[in-house]
Amino acid sequence: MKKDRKIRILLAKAGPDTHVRGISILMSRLRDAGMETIYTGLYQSPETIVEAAVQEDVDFIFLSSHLGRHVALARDIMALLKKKGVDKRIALAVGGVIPKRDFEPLREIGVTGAFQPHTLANVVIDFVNNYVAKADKKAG
Amino acid sequence: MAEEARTTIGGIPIKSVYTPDDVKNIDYKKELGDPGVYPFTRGIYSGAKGVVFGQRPVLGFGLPEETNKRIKYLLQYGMASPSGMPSYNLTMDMCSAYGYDSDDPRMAEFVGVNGPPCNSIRDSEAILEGIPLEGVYHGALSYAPNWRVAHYIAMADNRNIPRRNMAGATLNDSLHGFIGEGLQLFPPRACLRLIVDTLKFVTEEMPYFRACDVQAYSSREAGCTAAQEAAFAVADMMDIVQGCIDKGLDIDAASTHMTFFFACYSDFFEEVAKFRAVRKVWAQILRERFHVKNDKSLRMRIQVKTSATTLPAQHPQLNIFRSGLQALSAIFGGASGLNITCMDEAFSAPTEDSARIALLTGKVIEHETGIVNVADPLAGSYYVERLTRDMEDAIWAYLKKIDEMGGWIKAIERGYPQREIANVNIKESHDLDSGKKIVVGVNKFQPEDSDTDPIEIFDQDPTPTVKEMTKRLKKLRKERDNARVKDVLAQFREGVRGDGYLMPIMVDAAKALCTTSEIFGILKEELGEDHSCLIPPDWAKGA
Repeated sequence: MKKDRKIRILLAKAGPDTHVRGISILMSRLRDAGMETIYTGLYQSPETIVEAAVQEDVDFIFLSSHLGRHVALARDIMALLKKKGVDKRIALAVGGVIPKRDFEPLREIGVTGAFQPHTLANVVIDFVNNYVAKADKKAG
Repeated sequence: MAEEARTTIGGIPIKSVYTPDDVKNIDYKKELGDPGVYPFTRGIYSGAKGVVFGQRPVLGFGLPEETNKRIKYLLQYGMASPSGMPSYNLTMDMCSAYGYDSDDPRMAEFVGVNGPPCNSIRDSEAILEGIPLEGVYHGALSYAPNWRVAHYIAMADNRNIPRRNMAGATLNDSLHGFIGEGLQLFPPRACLRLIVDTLKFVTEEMPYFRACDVQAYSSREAGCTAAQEAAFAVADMMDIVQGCIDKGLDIDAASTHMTFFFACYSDFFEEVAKFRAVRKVWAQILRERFHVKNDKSLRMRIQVKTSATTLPAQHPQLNIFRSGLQALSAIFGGASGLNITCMDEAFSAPTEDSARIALLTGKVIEHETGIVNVADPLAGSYYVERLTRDMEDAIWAYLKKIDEMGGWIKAIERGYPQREIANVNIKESHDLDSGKKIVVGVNKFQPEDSDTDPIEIFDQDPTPTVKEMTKRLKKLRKERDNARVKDVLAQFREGVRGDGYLMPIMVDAAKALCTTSEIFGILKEELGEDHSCLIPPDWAKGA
């Protein structure tokens, strides 16, 4: 992560999933917390999401998922991030209708955070700040 | 220290005690009326009927055969329409809802997810295998254009069942998708055209089919308040009514096919007041603004689904109680249809068990509590009557604003309701963070951390469904008369281009075994696509 600029986050929706309440709240709350957010719009694919993430030079992809396909989508997104060689630079987190049973598979794929419905905005903001602080420390 | 002013969840000021003074200006005959009498504040059914409500949970997943099994399973537990007919409320999988066939690689993750796939009339037949077409109230949560309704009509024709004997309901309101979490494919004006097209068909040929159910549920679940939900729904339907009038439809007849699909949230009395107030507003608008004469046509039929977004993943068993309370306030508010949301909503699509429990929750209210014996039993409560009046004022205030903007479509084009909803959401998010608003398990009384889910969760794997449906599509395309398909699709394209009457052509297309993507592909090409949804337009790109 680069210390000299704001944290940049891509808020992503994939496929025919129009549940955007969570994403719209985060869009505003993350901005108020001093971060920059970019919204992909609806009907994206792992390819267009990763393309946008690279183009917008984001630190995070937040995938919002409410149709139960988060593990498969996260796997595809991670594979594409690796293929483009940006998986160390761009982190992936997932939020939405996600049962606990999927948390471990998501971790194994390399997803850095998973959030269930009703997660407080403050919790997400703290998560991003802590993650970035740790990454910065690692980078020295 | 001054006590902070109390309000309903939606922000209507309330006091801690109500007295006769609070209702002294409310004229019984003019503002309430008996149940079944204009302005229908007290309900659309006459008092003799007591409380009437049907129970049709939303269902559908996997292959058409799997959905068929779930329908039959829940029918034995008494899924029924308000008139007591066996009934179901069917979703489509996201792939077909968005107009793609199951073998489209872009949709591979979404086939059979949250609904069965429906590529052609063959799938509709499989979904209803062993379930009669007549004597069943068919609920299809499908949007304009009503390809699904065209399937029902074609199935009836194929079996020589008179179209007019078909009973059921469909959503057919694509205008709410722009501000809710529903579906939107085409630009607003094109949506309106497609909605009116279906309404024309049922008004002329299917007297027992409700064909426009304003999907206020989706905007409510997107975050708006009770008053906004009611006002946005009415404003939306006003544009549709005007669209029907512009097309020359008899609005006295057409309005009997219009219904309202509301959510029910946690503020018990605010929801009761919402249903009572909005029925009155609607009846008044139809009579005074659109000059509807027939009393029967002024009745707002309300279908309620209890809220899903108020059911957190923490302590999920509590959600049975939350939904039960919401169902109770919907019944006290006079809802005609009730659809109780399952406790596992925050985890996945419902299991067989959670679906059964949700359905039977309503049955407990119906059979064990005595609540159904008396129509509108909360009438005359100083608080409920005052709140109903305050709610009505709040609804009128929003309607006035939208009217000044030039109506619903104009309002969504300029992002007005989207912005209103965003503001409510952001305020709520702060209130939850600060503890000003408490949700049990979410920001107080949280469960201990655990790596496992507290209840059994449904699993949907689309892979086998994609494989099987792809095989069936291949077979269908080989077996059907492809020359006939080509003809009818050409006719359909011409109809779409030339502002033609589309439903009859879609019925022909269903009979000719055309597929979903063939129909929707033409619509997308000819009408254009609009995927803006809920997020205020100027928010989408950085700020």
